[in-house]
Amino acid sequence: MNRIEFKVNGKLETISVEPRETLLDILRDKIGLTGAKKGCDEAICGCCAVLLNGKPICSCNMLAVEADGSEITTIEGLGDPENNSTLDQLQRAFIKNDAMQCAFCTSGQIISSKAFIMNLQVDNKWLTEVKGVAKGNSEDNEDLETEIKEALSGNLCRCGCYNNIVAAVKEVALATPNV
Amino acid sequence: MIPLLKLNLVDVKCLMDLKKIQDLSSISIAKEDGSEIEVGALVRHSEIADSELLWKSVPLLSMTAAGIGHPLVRNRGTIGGSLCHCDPAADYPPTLLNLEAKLSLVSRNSKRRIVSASDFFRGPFETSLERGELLEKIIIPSPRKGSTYAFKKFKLGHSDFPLVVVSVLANFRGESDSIKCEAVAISLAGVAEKAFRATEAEEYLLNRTSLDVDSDFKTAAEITRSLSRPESDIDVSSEYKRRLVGVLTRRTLEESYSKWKKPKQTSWSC
Repeated sequence: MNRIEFKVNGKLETISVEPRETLLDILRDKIGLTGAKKGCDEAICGCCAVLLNGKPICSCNMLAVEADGSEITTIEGLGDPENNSTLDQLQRAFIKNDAMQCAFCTSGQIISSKAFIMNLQVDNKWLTEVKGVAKGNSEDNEDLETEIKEALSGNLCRCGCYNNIVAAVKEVALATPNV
Repeated sequence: MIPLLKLNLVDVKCLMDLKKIQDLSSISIAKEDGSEIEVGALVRHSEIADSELLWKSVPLLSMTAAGIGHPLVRNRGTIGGSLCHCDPAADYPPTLLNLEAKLSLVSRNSKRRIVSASDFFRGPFETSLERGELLEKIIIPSPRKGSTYAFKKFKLGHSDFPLVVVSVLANFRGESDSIKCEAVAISLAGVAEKAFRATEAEEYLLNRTSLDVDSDFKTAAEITRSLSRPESDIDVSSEYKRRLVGVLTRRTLEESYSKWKKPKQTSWSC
């Protein structure tokens, strides 16, 4: 057993884990945060997505011991589930746009969306420019919907809510102040 | 790595996490004149895809990294991990072959040896990495000034490993009726035991005294198709893959040419 220490949703956790346990396993079974789901267990579906030091990753594809010393944000860390009025902007947009049915993929979708929205606030206009050059586009840079779809391409939805998910993220993106 | 362990495809007695080694995690200019760039083995695909330095000096590499898997995978996967895994359909190898990249391997007592990318990739999931060796960094000579590039692949699902990958690095010269291909590198993955360069197709283009863009790219694509020996698999036949090779090679050559012919104005210049 290894003793690891890391922050989850701002709270410091110290737990014993077996080397073979994945981050997803311990988030769900040892810390009790069941928002992240085990969909494929192979880093294809994105249902297990969490933010690791601000970056979205598949928690099923990471050993718990690798998380030692890091900061994790799960869906439970966005907004406050006890108090509706403090839901994250994205969570509100998802509800408003009916962006879920069974909701199994939803926490992962929102995590990836959150990372996309946070990225909008970073100054990287040059990056959008080079990507346009790389693709040999004669028109201007890719539109927002295409960018959203690319950002969420690791999150699959078997119920087929993609259109509403994109609409929800687009709504929040357009309301986000750009650099 | 983790999926391989879960599927019991590999059996290890001991796993060592290298991620805290700072030396393996940076992208830097190796020579003062900028003629060589080094990418540490532990640099993640997303870091390569978002690197201003790499987009401005070796954009073909950044473009390659930007399309690997999906964002969640790109935030964890590393170039070193991918290269040592050596999947015959992986994205990096054809690009590194075009760039004539070298790999620095380090072993006990800081003993180092440099291996060319073409020597490193031996076969499916087989590299020239020896027991006790670690891939330290990838050394990339900056492409010639005025180089153009393109990268295309075909896959069934968005995040699947590709069926066919084509990577092109080229230099064109001349105007309207008299265009010459001064240098070209065409490499493929997914259609042989390992990534390879379509040297006969490259020679064809280099030997054209005046490039006929419409027919010469088609011919080069046909030559490339004939060099491919893809295997049939559960999803598609080898005949289909070979057809993809022809189509993608032609499109990749055309895109690299049109990027050179009509460069998009940017706020920066290489």
